[in-house]
Amino acid sequence: MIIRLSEFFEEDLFISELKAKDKVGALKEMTEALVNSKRLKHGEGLYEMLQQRESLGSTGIGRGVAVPHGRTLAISRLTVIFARSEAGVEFDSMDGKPVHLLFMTVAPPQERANLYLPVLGKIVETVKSAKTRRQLLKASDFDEITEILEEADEGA
Amino acid sequence: MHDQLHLLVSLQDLDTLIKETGDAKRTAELESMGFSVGNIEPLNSARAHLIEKIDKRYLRIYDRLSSKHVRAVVPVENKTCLGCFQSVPPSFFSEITADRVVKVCENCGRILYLLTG
Ligand SMILES: [Zn+2]
Repeated sequence: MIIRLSEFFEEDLFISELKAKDKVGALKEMTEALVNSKRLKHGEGLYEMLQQRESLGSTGIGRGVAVPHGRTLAISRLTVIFARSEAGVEFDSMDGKPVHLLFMTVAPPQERANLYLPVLGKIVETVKSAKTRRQLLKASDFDEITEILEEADEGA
Repeated sequence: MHDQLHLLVSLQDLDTLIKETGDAKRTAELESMGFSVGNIEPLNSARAHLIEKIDKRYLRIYDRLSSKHVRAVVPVENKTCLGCFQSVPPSFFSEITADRVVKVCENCGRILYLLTG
């Protein structure tokens, strides 16, 4: 399956600089962005589900990246919320380091196209590149983010 | 927001996670991406804690539906029950309580959750 990551990122679900400094705060702030965008009616259920997923093991996968994820009935399609933190967020990451790039990925359970695992895989693959991570952190606006992701999509 | 309908949605989400975590092939795929998927025990205790808050009569409906279908709680989108794909009668939407009150599909009996948009 060919996944073009740039197609899953949306401007109103981009948080240029998180206020939160820890995992709980970051998950709440990103969930709130989803509620504010009207894609989700209530944030509490999603937040609890994401915490339950974290209880199995942190989704902070190292290199300053976290990909919190899960399925919920409360969302109608696969959605990615992208957030950055220059200061870093404590996320119980595998390498013990704070995270700077966060890609929250939520999908409905009944999703027929089954994009959930392929999209997670594509995010992980894309941010393995130190150059891409650096560019994503430095980008000054969402258009630049889109360009970086498109370039990464082309390179795949 | 912890009304019965939202608790049932949370229970369905948790059961989805428990089921997926128990799927060895899927867990292996996540691990190969670099995620850690540990012991399922915290999910079982979260479930025990959650069902204490749910009304027994709704739990019975949930359990009965779960034994028959993949999901007991399903979304309503485009006025359609996403469990049986039959349309949901207008009365479901006309009540302002559609957002909070537990209602079942007249056709398949599954518990309905109205999506935004
Ligand atoms: Zn139905």
